[in-house]
Amino acid sequence: MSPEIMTILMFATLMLMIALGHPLAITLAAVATLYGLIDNGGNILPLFDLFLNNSWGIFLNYVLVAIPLFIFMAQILDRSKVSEGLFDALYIVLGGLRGGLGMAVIVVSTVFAATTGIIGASVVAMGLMAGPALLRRGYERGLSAGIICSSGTLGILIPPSIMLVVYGGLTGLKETSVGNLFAGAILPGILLSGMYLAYVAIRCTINPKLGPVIPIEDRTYSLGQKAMMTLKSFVPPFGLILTVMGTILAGIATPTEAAALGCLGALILAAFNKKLTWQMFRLAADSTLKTTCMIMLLFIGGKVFSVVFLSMGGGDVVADLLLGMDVNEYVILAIMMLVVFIMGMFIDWAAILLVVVPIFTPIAMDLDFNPLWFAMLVCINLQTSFLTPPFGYALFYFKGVAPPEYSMGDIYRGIIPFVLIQIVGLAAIIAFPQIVTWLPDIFFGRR
Amino acid sequence: MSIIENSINNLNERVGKLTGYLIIPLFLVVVCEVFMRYALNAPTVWAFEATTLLYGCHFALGFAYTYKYDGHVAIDVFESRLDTRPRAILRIIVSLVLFIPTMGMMAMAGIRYAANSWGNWELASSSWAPPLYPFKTIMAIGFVLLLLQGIAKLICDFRSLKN
Repeated sequence: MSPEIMTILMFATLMLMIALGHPLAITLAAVATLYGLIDNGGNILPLFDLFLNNSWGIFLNYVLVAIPLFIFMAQILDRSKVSEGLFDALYIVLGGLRGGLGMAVIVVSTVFAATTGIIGASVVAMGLMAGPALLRRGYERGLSAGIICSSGTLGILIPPSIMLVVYGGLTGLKETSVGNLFAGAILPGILLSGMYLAYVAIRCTINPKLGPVIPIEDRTYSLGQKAMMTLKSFVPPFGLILTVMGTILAGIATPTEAAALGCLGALILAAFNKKLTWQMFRLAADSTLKTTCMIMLLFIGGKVFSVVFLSMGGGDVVADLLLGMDVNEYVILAIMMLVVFIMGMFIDWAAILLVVVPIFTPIAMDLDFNPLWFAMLVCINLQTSFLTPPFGYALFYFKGVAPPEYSMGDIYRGIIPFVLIQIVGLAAIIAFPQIVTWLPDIFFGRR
Repeated sequence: MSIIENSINNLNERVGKLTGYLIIPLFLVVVCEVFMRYALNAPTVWAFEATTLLYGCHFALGFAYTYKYDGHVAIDVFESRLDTRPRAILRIIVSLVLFIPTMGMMAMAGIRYAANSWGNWELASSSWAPPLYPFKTIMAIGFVLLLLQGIAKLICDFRSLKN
């Protein structure tokens, strides 16, 4: 069979199998087994030696050690109620503005995102805390759901971020080292957060019914009291952000080491908030294990899939197809982004990264795109995958914890403007690559 | 059959509960290395490898436990719309066609991979040079436990088909 037909068949088989509801990691490995055997003429032993060699490579990958550590840090922080303190302070400070409570949610989520690398925790935390609060204050349900889901999803983009660690561990390129990716994602993350804030402010100013101000008796504090509350709730998380990001950007610690320091910091913070109990620690370790194993099995499944796919010549087929078109390089970029976006509607981000990055990275290099900039475009795009129906995981997490007044229809309706904002943000970063490259150049120097 | 299912579930529950605590030595080793390097100006030769080996054991031994709690992400929207009986049939077929052959071969190949390492007392090619065979064994055990958990789920699906 020609590589072209094999490539198409392999992808078609994967799509079909995925719909069967079996764990993605196993499905990827099973499809890799089938096509690996077809490709090498049924030699089972060499194929599985190849798989085992790749699994062992993942077992020894130092960069990926940051994954369990950042997850553990997030689990501890999530249980130490840091975001509650922030939200309570901002509730009072911003409550007097139209849409102020919504903006408080976005600010808290952004800060929370800068201390954690996974989205499940932040969407669930914000859904539990802000979901009922926004409803009680008469916020429009769609807007509330959109605010919580979209800002909660920033956790996967704003460093430290598990997605960026996976990307860095996957490519092994110097340009897309985890440190560079972290530095590169800071401004895009702030840009998106700022665009959400502006959107909520503008919508609620035009139509105050969407997000009314909170009653005056809820916020009768002097300016000094307000300043004190804000300071007290902001200092601990900012100290943690500075520890983790500061040591990475200053070149003092590797991202893995910074993650471990972050765990230590989160434990200290939890102890200060009097939330550090053995029970809490045990639950945090347990959730850490489950989330880590989910990602790592997917890593193994995705790795063996891409090894077989590339050795079959599938990468060249895709590259020839895209590069063979007689069009502008930005059209090719747009096609790649569209593929990621559409896959994001159906498949989990990690599976997309593991399948798509090994195929697309050589093409991006061939087109002379900056690898760091390209990486960031893929990651911002994948962030959207949490929000796009039918399978937007953030939406399901929110639905799972929000008050029953929020219908799935409210959530789907509310998320649309935020997805559009993300697409605008993506376009802005395509137009102005400096948003990504400026900070890494400052911290790690121009190569 | 239910004895087999229960013992697999119990085994993986215990292994998983213990494995979760590996995060403690993992983060302590890394913190210790940072401390040694900056506070004592004496970087260790072992921390780097010890870290990766610990992290490897952490995830490899947790695969089956995570699967027990359906923690491995799957696109199950079509499956979850089916009635109990057709769903059990679908799961049995998918398990027999996708899971058992793939993980069965991964487990067997893993054992062979570890056996090779024992055969030549393989050490890491670094200055610390820890033995690698115990860790390749743990990777193999991880795949075997995952295979067992898949078998336990298969038995469970057969049982729900009977009722």
